[in-house]
Amino acid sequence: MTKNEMMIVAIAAAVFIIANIIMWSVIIRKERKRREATTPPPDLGIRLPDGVPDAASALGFKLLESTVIVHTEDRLNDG
Amino acid sequence: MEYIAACDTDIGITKKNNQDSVCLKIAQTANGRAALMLVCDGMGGLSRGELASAEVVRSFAEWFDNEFPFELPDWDWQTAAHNVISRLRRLNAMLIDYGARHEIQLGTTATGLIAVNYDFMTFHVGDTRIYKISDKLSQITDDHTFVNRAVKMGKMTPEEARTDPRRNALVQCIGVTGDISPEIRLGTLENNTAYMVCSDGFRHVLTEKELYEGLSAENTSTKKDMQKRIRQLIETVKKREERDNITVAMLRVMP
Repeated sequence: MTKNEMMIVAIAAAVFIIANIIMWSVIIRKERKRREATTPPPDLGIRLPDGVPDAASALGFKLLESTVIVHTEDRLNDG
Repeated sequence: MEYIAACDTDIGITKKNNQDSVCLKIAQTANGRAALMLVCDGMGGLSRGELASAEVVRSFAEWFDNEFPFELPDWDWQTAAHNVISRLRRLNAMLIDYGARHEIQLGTTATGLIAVNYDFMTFHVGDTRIYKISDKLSQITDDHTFVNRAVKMGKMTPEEARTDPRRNALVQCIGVTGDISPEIRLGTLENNTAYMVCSDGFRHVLTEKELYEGLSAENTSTKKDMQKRIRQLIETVKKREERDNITVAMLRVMP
């Protein structure tokens, strides 16, 4: 194999490697974007405690189910 | 009689925060059962939508725990309706005032159901919906959207409304519209009939057939099954790449 032929093979190999690196970077970036789009960030859902006063309990009022889910601890009257 | 109920909410697949809030309360009272079910969808395009929806849900939840037990002995639906409208208008004014002071716009829908034994009242502002699920699925609230109003006025066909770019534009919601006219309906709960409140994120990519079959009486006869079916539908909605937050609450009356 002549020096020129070796050079051509080396260039072809380099081009092949660079093309592969670019291709896989694009694939990985697309995959990461897809994963980010389908994986939600942790839900900041806050479940609030109930607060039935004793006087209400005395009237026979008893909570059997109490689910309140909000996603902020801020209140309007905080500011 | 018993109430079987469940609720769930999910941030969805694209939004950075969940602006929906949900409340589900059931109480044993001296004279039977009572319930509150409420879904609020904080406005997608508006900043602090989660604060708006949380404030409305907290207000009704606190009312149910602290005031409702003392109102029950003299319970009267006309007075209750008047009080709910007043509460919604007060919250509307508070949100508008907060928005003006902080130079932001925040808003939310508010759609819920209050039940006392077999009687109920729905209250509704926005495009969150209540469905009745019996031998068929029927929507019992009216969407307060620009396109729905245009359809009712005969200026647009239902088909045009489905694809109109303004299909999500609301004609009234809490915190944005200066004056609101909440839609109130009174009714009687039917045995083995379910009432489901859901944000638009839940229903956009599901057909009525899927909603009906997924939440039918056979599939949601226990609380555990109801919770499981709701979660399954939410996962279906996410697989179909719905972009909004997703929230559902459901209540069924058992004899």
